[in-house]
Amino acid sequence: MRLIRSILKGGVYPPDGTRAARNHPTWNAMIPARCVVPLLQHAGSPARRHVDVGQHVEEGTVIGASHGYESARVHAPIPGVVTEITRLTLADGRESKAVVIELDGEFQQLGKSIQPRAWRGWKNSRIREEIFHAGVVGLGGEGIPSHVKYSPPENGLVEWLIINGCESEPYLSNDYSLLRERPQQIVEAVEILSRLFSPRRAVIALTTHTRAASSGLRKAITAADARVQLQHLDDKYPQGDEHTLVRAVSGRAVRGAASVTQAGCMVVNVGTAVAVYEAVVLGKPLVERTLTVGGNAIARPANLKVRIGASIGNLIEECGGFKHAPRKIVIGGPMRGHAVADLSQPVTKLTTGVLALTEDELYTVPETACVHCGRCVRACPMGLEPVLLHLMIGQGDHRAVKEAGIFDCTECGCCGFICPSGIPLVDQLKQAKSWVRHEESDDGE
Amino acid sequence: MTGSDRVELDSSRLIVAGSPQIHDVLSTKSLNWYLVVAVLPAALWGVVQFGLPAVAVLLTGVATATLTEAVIPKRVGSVADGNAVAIGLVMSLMFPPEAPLLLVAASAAFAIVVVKWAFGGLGHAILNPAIAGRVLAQSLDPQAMNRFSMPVALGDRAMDEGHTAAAMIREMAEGLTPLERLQHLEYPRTAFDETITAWLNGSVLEPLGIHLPGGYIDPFIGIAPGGIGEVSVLLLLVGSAFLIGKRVVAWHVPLAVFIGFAGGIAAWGGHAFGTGFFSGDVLFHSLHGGIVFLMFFCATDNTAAPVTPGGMMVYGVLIGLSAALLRLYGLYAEGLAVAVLVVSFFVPLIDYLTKPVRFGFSRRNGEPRLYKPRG
Ligand code: SF4
Ligand code: SF4
Repeated sequence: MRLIRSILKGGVYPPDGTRAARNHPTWNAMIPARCVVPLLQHAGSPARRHVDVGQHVEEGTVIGASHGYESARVHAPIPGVVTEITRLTLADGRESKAVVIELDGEFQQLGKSIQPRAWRGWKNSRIREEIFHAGVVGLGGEGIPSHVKYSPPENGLVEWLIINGCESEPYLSNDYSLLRERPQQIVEAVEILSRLFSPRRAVIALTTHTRAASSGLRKAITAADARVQLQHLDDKYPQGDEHTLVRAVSGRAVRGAASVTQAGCMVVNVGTAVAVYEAVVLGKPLVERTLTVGGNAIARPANLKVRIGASIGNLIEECGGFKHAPRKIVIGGPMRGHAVADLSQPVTKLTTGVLALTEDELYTVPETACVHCGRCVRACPMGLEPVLLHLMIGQGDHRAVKEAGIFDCTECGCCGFICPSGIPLVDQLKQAKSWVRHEESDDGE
Repeated sequence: MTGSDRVELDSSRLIVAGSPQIHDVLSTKSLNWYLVVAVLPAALWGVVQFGLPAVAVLLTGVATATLTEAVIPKRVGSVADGNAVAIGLVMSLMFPPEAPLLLVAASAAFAIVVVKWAFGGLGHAILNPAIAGRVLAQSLDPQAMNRFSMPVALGDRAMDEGHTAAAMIREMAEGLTPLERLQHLEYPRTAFDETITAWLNGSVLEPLGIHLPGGYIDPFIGIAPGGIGEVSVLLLLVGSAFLIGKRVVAWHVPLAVFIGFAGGIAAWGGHAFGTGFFSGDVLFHSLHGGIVFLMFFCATDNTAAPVTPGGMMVYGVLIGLSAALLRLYGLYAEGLAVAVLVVSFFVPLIDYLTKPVRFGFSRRNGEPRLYKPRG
């Protein structure tokens, strides 16, 4: 039994929600007859449109080309005809062009078994290229294009390769379903990534919630004779955040504003690891992902394998629709996710979950004045004082706000979750970040 | 799932808000009401022991606070948020059972109008209203505020000075421990105390080499004169366990107050009575005179407390220390709540000096941590 380590300070224990979905096998969602595929499905700049209206596409045809430094390719999730190029507002508020594809024609890959490719003979540059071609991005929700993240860091080496099997948020169990159902692929992905980075140690980090997957993983590790260890961690939120995870596994802490690569660590989410496996070993582009459909309003919560571009309404329908009236439809997890009022929102590479929450789950708290309870201070995993930031923002003092560490805030949501006065602290902090940047550029002139 | 179980989506009822999308179960409202629930057992005990006068004091305190809150014109907050009830109740529980009702009413009104609302209401006050009310009463009528009636359990052996044990032992010749003093004064003790003490000694403590003198069980159960809600240490501990279990109060402040108080009493408790330094009777002073109430229900009030965990510890220790010194050398042995008010003035300073170490920063020099890559 390995030692259970945890985030040292801060964090909260949000309710488990419907991780009920976790123990059912993942099922393949129906292939949508119509896909709306945004060209911005990652952090950075949007892909450039590569198809025209009326054009016929195959499954996996590149419809958006990586454009600019931080950008990723976008592929057609289904074969068909491009019927429309639209604009839409994504769940996270960003605007994006989207390619609409109506299903038509034959699937080339679906249901056919693919011969694994002998990647071990390849150079690292070839492996990176495959990852780039497949349009892999971080599937934990952050969405940094993987070829950017995996390009050799300027300041040197990756000492720790950490596969994040911690489940980024409560309610979600999509990472767990992959850990349980695809241990061999994950272990092979670790081998691929170890080839890229030659880390001193490779670790798959699990929490109390995902540790039931450890026996399968252990078997896969032994079978492949891979150099990777399992690490069990406490299930406090936000254990799955890069910074707190790196702290718990390697003992190193870097400030929120800095990348964990500065501590010699590379964190890869299990979903991303599976995508890397598919890209490198199977040569498959990223056109589907696993996500959790959950929340008490959903009749049959489940983990689904879904084509990018399917509408969330269809997924909810496939899970039996609503059994209670939902008060919030959330894309992502409950702590960082975005509430939407529109079931036509498409699934993107960043969609970790679709939640329909009932009134009883929300515990909406009316906003009152801060009562000075210090809960937000105790909850902040970054060691910030949200109450102080809140006051400074109110006073309009952008230098003090910056000094107090606003850019170290990872927007984890702990402070807003816990504040008994219902102050929308996270909203304020997010807005204040752009405000501080703006004021600073004014100061600079 | 059959069709009839399905609920159709009513988009007009969907909330679109920023993250996080869910909230913790606690709100300011539930915090207040949990506090009220937590003091109820001790309050009921006080009512049983001190009878109708105690009921009158509690009702006056709560009613005045609530009514005052209700008539104050304001934009936010209401009686339903429980804050006024909590203030009125906590304040009047610190009053002697036979306190003049006019004094109770005046203090409650002062707490709400001046201390809470003059600064803009819940969250804006800089002092704890309940404590400020108690302290006001103390300064308006110190005589009445230091005259305590005997609980019914000791009733037939009433001492007519109207002093609590903590106050009585101060009026004695040098060189005796608190318990010896009480014995000397023929302070009453119940048969129950004797029985339990004997049993404890016989079956638990003596095998461990400890001997417990008689006289500690009565105040632990709550058979002692004192503030209405302050006497039953046992029921106060039950209420506090509930509060901590429900995460209404953090453990930092109560623990720190106890450390400060115990340390202060241990160091000076004997000195004050002529038995030298470091011979104080911590147990005696913890069981008598409302320190447990202070620790869990006054010092933990958020209004005036620091927001950092480190600050809470410093704040608590300072409160405990000042309470110990007030107990030993102050004008009155009761009414230690004033210690909270005094320490409150240092809170901005405490908060400033106890900033949490930020994640990824060095504790030593406060600079961001850097790691050198190793090859
Ligand atoms: S959202 Fe930012 S300030 Fe709030 S708890 Fe998380 S890191 Fe701290
Ligand atoms: S949690 Fe909310 S009420 Fe408590 S100190 Fe922080 S901002 Fe104020």
